[in-house]
Amino acid sequence: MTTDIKAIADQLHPLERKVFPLVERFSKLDDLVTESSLQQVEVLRALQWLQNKKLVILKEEVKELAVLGENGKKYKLNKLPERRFLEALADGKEHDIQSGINPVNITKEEVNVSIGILKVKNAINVRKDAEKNILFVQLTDIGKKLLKEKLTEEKILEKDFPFEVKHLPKEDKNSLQYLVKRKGLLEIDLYKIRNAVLTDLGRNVLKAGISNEEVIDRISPDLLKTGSWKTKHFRAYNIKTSVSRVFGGRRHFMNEAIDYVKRIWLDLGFKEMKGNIVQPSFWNFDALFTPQDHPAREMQDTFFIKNPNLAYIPSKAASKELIKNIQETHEYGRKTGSTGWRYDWNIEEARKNVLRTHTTVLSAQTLARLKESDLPAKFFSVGTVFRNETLDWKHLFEFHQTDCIVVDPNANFKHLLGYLKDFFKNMGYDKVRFRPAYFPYTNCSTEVEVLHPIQKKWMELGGAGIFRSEVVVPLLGKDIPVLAWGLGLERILMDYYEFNDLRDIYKNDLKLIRESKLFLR
Amino acid sequence: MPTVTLNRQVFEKLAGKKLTEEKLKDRIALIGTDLESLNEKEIHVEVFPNRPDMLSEQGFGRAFKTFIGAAKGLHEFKSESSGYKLFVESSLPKEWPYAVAFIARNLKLDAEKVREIIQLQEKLGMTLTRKRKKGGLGLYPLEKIKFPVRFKGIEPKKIRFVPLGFSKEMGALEILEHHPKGKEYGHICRDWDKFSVFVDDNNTIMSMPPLINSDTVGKIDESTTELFVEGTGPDLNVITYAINIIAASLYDMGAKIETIEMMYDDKKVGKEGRFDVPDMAARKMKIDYDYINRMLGLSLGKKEVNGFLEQMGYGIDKAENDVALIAAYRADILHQADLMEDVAIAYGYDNFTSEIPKVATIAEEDAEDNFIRHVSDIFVGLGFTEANTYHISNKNELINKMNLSEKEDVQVVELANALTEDYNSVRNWILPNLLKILSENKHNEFPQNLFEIGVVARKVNEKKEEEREDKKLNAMISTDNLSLLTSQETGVEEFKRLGVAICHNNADFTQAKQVIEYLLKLLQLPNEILPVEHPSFVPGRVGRVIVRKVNNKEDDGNEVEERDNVERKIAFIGEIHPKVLANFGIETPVVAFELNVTEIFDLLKL
Repeated sequence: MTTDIKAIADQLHPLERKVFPLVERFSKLDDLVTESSLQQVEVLRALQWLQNKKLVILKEEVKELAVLGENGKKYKLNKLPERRFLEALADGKEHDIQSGINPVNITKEEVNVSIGILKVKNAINVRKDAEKNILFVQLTDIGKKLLKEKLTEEKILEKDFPFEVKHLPKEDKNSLQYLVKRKGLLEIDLYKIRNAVLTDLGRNVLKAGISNEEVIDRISPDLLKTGSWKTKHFRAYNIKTSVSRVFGGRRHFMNEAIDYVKRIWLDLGFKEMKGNIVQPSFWNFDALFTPQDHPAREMQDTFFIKNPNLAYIPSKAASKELIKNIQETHEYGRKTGSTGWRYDWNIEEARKNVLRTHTTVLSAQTLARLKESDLPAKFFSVGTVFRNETLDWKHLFEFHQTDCIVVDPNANFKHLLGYLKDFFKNMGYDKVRFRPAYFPYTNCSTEVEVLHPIQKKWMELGGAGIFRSEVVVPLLGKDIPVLAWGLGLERILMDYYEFNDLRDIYKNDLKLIRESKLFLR
Repeated sequence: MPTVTLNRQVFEKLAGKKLTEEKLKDRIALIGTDLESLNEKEIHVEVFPNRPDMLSEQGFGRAFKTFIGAAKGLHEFKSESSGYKLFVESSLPKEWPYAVAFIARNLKLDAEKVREIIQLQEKLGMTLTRKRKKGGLGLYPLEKIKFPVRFKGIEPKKIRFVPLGFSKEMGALEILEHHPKGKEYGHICRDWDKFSVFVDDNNTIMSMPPLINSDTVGKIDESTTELFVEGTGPDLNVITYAINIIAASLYDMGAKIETIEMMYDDKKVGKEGRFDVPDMAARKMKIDYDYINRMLGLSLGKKEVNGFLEQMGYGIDKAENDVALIAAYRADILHQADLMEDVAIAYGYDNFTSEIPKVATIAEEDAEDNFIRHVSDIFVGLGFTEANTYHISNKNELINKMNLSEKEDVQVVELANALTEDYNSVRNWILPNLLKILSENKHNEFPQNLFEIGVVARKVNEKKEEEREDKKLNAMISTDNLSLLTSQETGVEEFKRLGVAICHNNADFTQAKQVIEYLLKLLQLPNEILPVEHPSFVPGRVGRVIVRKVNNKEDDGNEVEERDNVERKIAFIGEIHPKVLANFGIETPVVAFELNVTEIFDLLKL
């Protein structure tokens, strides 16, 4: 307890140090302001902090105060106009209001107001001469009596201002309202009166004593220059106080993950492949031994380009010779040892421009440019791919794939499994399983599944295999084992960030990007 | 991929061995099919498109039986000759010249078996024959047909018969117009001069492939005991596989298969135009044991390899050494590698050990990607939030909402088959996507300072297109840049662009200029901003950023210094026009720039 009390005392802010001891003697805010010689906001801030520390309790009272207006001040000195009007009629005779009333004492406007008031009180009679259109007034008996008495309104005016409305006798409240309605006489203001009262804890802290010595609050350049900090103590902060949030610059979590994936492949000695998103079908499909009537090449699976709808091949990248080799491989297998698909291959079909449906297109282009002297070689890519899907919680029309090829005369199926297991281990999945699958361009095709560590369910994350000779021979000129795989990234991200909807990845909700956890595995 | 529903009882009987639930699930997955669901009555599996022979209870059961060891080697199949002939005439449309057919007798059909046969016919139609584009398949009760049967071409207006499911005679064109199958598949034959029909010896039209059978002679039901089965189409190879698959399934169902002799007018087909169908003789393929072991990283003996092949339904030739016999219904075996794959499946993918070979290769990140990461880091340092948006957008956002005109419109790359208006074009710049983000984040904290670096695409302009058509140019392109080479092919240029948007109550031109100048300072590229007109920005508050690079070249004598200035227009910068902001529903000022990263990167490399 004592250490607590000491800690509390040490952490007091200079403003609190000034105000807190005063609360023992003064409770009203105004008094505290006067006594501390601080600004009202400073006192209020100090009291708020003290209250947060449960040292004082702030109480707030709302008071109705009657305050004199401009006219009210004038009338307090010179009497109310209706009094003066009464006095002008003191002789009891009938007066003509245009000329028969002493204008020194009373203005015309005040005359009109007074007539209204006195008529209500039955203090005067008013007669109108219709012909001359002149009003005549004369005191009644009540009026005469009033000459000797004070009006309630006058009694109110005589009070010390401002005064609290609640202290006024009930019977006078109507008159008060009446005065409020009159122009510039008096107003009723609502005042918040704040009082500070010590709590038991507060009393104890004060009793234990607050050192009077000046403590250092903010460390200022001046303090450092003069070295004056050497002789003073630092006020301790309450470092547990919550602070307002800040946000810094931030990369999109998808790109953070991509960087991480890239690093895995780079660490394993892979070289990056890059290429375009708009591709001729030739590279996206034909070079990968996908027959021209394959369902993946239909409108409902692949985005075709409206204009320019056809690619210009042969080209430098797709030479006449390469095209011929691929055509013959499709048709009868050429030099690959395959029967081929046994159909008539059509270059017009290969010319159709598409949005690439897989990054494997880059693997095909890389093989076509690779020289035998470059072997063994390993390549990776991470890129966007496109499928003609309707957008919903588990389908995107564009998403990311990472594709790799290992071109090595000594590569085999076991290596394929090894690279994939290593990759998924780095991505946080220890259990990987391989199921037979089918892709037109690979052998030993396999679907790669990982065991979700918490849900204990198998998640399908990609496809892999060894490129068929029908792919490798035309592109590379020689039948060399090429291990290949293509893995989706979005499902891994959905799992990592616990999204229920794939679309959240590309929603670009700034709060989500700014505050999402770092992609760390 | 086609999903088939298998009757579990029928399947298990065919598989020859009852497995526990767990084992069954495991084995189905590891034979290379996706198990969708399984209950006491039915098994739903997705069959990969390379195995159309597994699209029936009989086919699946046959493959499974050897896989689980209840049988081994090539499946038995017997047939005898029916003595019937099918004439395939030269009058046929050139688009549909082939037919194969056989007979199945002694069928004891019930509702279940009819379902199985129809399912197989339909699934084969969807996959192997590509929605009838590569062939049509038909079944008929044999007793209604008088042999010999002719397959011939007849002009559409001369064809009249009662199509399946209808009660009155219709003309061929009427069928195209009104029959559900005519509407669905009519596009295949609509433009042919002649349509193909089967006609029997009574001159009765039996069917009009690939659309529809006759209701009178081409309808099978539970009372049918003998079948005439035909396949027709443009690809003899494909329809032969389809017919072999059906024949094998009917045989396994207990039918007696009888061959029909094909009599082609075209003597190049078969032997002088003659051959028997079905020909279920196994294909032969030499087994390359070395290749198999090398590719799989195993050291299996011949016996082991042969054993695995038998487990996958292959026969091992007794007459010839090292030869595998491939069943006549296996359409997927093109190459030695396909034998290798089946050995791997039988060996069990889960039984392979995995290893990472110690092969030294040098890692290398794409240089432009590396550059882009540095640029991103600068923007993160400046407190910007990185966005990642779709490449596919729409012209309304890219052009109209940005206050741009038709002139810019022409360069947008549109999709031919977009599913929605919202996503029908490839973005040609980044800023519209950033403005869309700002319009969707009004509830979030400000300032909202965004950047995105991504690919944009545009059509190669017309002048360049002319050049591109010039084949000589293709030969002349000296670049080794893959992206440029691909652009030459596709006619679509792609760039990496950096889009930057600053959005808060006091956003103004100065802040954008400060940011771009800071970036260019770090890249050591002196720049100048020239006033320009751009409808997306406030007039008088928009500029074109030009950078200069000075290359100092020294000649051999180290005396003369030649200065080579390179100048590039690399960005637009300015305050976004309030009209544009209104189009996006943004109520906070935005100042932005868009910079061509590819251009800058190329400049830095010079």
